[in-house]
Amino acid sequence: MLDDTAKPLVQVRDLQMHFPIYSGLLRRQTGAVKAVDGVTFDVIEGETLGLVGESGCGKSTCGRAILRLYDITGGTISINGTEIGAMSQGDLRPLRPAMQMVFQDPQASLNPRMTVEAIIREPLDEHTKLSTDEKEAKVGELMDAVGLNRRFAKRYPHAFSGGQRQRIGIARALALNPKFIVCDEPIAALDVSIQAQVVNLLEDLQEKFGLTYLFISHDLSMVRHIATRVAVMYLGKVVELAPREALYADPLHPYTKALLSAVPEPDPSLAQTRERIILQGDVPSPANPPTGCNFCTRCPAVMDVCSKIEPTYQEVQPGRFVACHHYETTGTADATAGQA
Amino acid sequence: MIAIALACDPKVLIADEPTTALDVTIQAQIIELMKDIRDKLGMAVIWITHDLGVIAGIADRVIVMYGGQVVEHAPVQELFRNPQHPYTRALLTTIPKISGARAKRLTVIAGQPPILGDAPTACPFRDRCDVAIPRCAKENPPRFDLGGNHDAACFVAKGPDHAG
Ligand SMILES: Nc1ncnc2c1ncn2[C@@H]1O[C@H](COP(=O)(O)OP(=O)(O)O)[C@@H](O)[C@H]1O
Ligand code: SF4
Ligand SMILES: [Mg+2]
Repeated sequence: MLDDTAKPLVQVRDLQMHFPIYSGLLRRQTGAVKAVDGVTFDVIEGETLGLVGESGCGKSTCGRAILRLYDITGGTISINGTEIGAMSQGDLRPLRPAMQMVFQDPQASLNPRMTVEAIIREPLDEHTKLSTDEKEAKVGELMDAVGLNRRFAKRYPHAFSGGQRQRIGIARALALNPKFIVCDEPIAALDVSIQAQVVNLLEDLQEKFGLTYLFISHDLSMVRHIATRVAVMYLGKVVELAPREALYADPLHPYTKALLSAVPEPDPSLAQTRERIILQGDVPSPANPPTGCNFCTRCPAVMDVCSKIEPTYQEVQPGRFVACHHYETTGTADATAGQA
Repeated sequence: MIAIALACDPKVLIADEPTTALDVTIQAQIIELMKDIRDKLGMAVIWITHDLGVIAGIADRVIVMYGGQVVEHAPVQELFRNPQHPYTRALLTTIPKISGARAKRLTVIAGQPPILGDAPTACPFRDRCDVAIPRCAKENPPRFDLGGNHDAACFVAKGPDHAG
């Protein structure tokens, strides 16, 4: 799938989203939460890029910043060749239909006082000049596409199960024929027995409509299933990005190694033999990250240089990006030391 | 939290989804800690979770519940190797794995989770079950002993002779 003709649909360069911290009587800005702090990656047309990492590492902020739900504090974002990083919200409006979001909590993201039909139609009202009949037909098509019975069009969200509510959210996201969808933990709030239904639906829709996904999740097993490539975040930065097979079979960054080793293996015999890397301590605050490498306070392979100089995020093998001194081609250490 | 629970030297510790809201690296810390304490103090632990991976790593025996009742019970290896209840089997295949072969498509458990109501007069899993027989709609199956400390509440799991 990812050959030389692969075309980036989304290009994120050095993206920064710092939230100001105000304190004192005069509410002066005294610092910033560096939720996303210099993130660079492409999302290739037609692929699913998985974005993984533990809670608070900046996944949601990254997804929302790319869709310009925030005014970003640095970097550039180009979607389909158009630079949108510095655009005003007014200029963004005509571009909004092409980029949509599916949220984690279908309960909270759907207006409880609107019928399903009205929820799915709302983006059509806002962004198109379709007639009432055309809109009704489109809503019907969308309900079919996501596997919702048209007979339920006049019901309210509370009458639906969690899985069905997520289908409503997906139908709404699809209404304007988007090219790019950020799915922010779309299955995290669902019963395990329902998650596969929604994931299979997302895969079907991707194929049918040629969609490109940024799939944000802390569920590494599910990302292994759905993603084409995977980016791993830690404390506001992408530490590793690789094609799915390579990442899971042979993680390079010490944090990716620890993260994957901590995922419980649903097989008792494997669970006993598997080597676990137990990380000590807690993640530092994004308002006060360490100097040097962000992972240096917990890294099992830490070296002297790590607390002094920030490692460069660079391509260390074709298609594999890592930010770690063990892999720096012009650095001090050799690449194999990263095996620690 | 764990320290409070241990303050009175318990014989049994019930841990209700103790790591569900936690990230995997923190979860791994807690699981290691609990195993340690369990072995040192010789206490029994009942670990309630929906995460089969956690179960595989910590449990000796497993009870699977569905719709408010026990549907299967077995030693951990046996449960994962030889699941007998259709719900257990479905659960084990619907979750993608972190290693090994990767399914091209996830196996889906059709339908919705049950709504708990009156005492069941039928198998609670029958609407979502791919091997249900007419009897499943008429009676709630008891737990049939399958030998080797393994039992399952399923007319079909009991074996074709009794499936009638
Ligand atoms: N609007 C905001 N204002 C201030 N801090 C924020 C805001 N949104 C997120 N944060 C902080 O940014 C960090 C990253 O959050 P988030 O992107 O939600 O992480 P994730 O989705 O990976 O769990 C967290 O420390 C969070 O508290
Ligand atoms: S740069 Fe140093 S601290 Fe950071 S991940 Fe690599 S070895 Fe660990
Ligand atoms: Mg989030």
